Amino acid sequence: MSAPGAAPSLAVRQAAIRDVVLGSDDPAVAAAAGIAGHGLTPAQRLAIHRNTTHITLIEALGENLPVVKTLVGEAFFAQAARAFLRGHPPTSPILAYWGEGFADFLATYAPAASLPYLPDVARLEQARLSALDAADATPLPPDALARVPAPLLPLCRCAVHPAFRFVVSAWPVDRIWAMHQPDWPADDTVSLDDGGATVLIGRPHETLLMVRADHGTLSLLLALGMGQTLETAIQAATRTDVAFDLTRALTRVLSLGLLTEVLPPGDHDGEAPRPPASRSEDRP
Amino acid sequence: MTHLPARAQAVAAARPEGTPPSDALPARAVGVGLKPAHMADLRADPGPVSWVEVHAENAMQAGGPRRHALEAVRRDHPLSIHGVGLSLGGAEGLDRAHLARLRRVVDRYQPALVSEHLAWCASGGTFLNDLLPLPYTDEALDLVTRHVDQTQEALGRPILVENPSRYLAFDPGRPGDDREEPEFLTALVRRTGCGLLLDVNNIVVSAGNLGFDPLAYLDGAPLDAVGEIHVAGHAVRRIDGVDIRIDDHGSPAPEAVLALYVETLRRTGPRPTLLERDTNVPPWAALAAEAGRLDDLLQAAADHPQPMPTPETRR
Repeated sequence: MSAPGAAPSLAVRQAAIRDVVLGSDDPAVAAAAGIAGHGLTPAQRLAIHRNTTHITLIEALGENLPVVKTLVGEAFFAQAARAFLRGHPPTSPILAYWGEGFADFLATYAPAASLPYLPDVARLEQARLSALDAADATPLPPDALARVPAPLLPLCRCAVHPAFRFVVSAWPVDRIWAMHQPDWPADDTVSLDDGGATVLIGRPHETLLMVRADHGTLSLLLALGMGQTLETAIQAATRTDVAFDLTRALTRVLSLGLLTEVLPPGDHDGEAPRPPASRSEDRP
Repeated sequence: MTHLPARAQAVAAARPEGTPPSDALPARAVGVGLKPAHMADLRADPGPVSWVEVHAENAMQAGGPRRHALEAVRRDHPLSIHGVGLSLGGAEGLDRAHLARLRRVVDRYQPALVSEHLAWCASGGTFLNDLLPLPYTDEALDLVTRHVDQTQEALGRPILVENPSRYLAFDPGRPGDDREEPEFLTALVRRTGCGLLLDVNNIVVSAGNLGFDPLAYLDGAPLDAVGEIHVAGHAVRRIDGVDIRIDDHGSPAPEAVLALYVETLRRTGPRPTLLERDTNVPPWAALAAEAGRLDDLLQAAADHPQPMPTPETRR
């Protein structure tokens, strides 16, 4: 801290302004910024900046999570976003993904307790956002695995597309999302009694695809993503789901463009599994 | 160089020898801040708009359709990368990871211009999404100088620094340790070799909020370093009987901003000019029409060149 009477350092001024902008109403904090009022109080001057931060961040969160916003309405969303912002202000200057943590926040946010599926809708929208901007990769053609000699297949490893994301929900979260899209049929409805969904998201070309899958297929993808061989991945899938159907799962996964490389055993054989590829060079 | 609109072809033809296609940004070119909603319209009919500006933080996708759309725009138009998140005035030092991301954006898109703000926007690990003001002290000048040096070194090119819109002034620190903004910018330009992105709307906003004369601001500003001019509109809100101008980029530029733009051009000669619009974004045709009006002012200034202000007019 600066000596009494001396000018506050830049660090002291900025910490004070930050705290006021984030919500502190303590006049001593505003005073520490060393602001000249020019006809208003320092707090009134700082309130202009506080408004900008709050309004623009709430707007950014709404743009990232449009279905959540539609489900709860603009006023409720703004209130929830304001409460979220207090405890979880953004840490990155890239706001295109801001809101990680909002789903967990909503799960504990009492005013939203009557919408138990809301956190999963937020997770789904967040997963779609991050899939949209993930690195490019060319999906394997549908017959890529069929071309590998059968005895070698179990020992192959597969690269998973950088845009692969998933959400596991106890609610029909994909249909709740879909009913807020322009192409939703007017006569269709969603019942919360429909049960849960394991949703896979991929981006084989320029558009996101979203399909339901069984848990076995998800386990297979997660194991492959960790660099396991196909054989180990199949074991993981079968442990998750005794009825796991490999042929059906691989057809599904390939049609979604979720695999981008098949690496025959050889150079990699016997080595430790490869670490998963960095998902996106530019993500904070 | 395929499908270049007529204006961009003229722009390309006017570029100095040896300059790569679309990298040069002629002084007589009007651009707009690119909104996602306008991308298709821009590609179909740019009208008087020959270049575009994109926030650096909106150009950091690793891949995917949003990146591909921006790459397509870049193939047709010169681009300006305008950062809003580097926090050149941040007391805690530059975010090296973010500077590295900016470097990748610049490498990827080879923009004609790269700019940031004379402001700070992060503190204690929190990003505040606002361009907050600095006191114009020795400490701040040393700090911003260091950060501009560091940025220019990381990018391997000079940047432009934009004058911010201000809503508050600071109590003077120790006596004499206080400058007007133009004097601060002049010192910064001299120390770092950076250029100035002169936002004439921000001058009008700050002048209204803090009570100074916009023309006196121009007298003191390092106008020979202006590499780009921003034009936009703002809102006026009454707080406790005091009119506060809010830089919301939500309406066409008002007369006061246009008059200051023309006066600036009279002193600087033609400079690449960008129309900013971020809220109440109108349809492309309306935005392009406003850009066309700026283009008329810019071409008029280019046809009647005035001498640059002499160094004696600056302190």
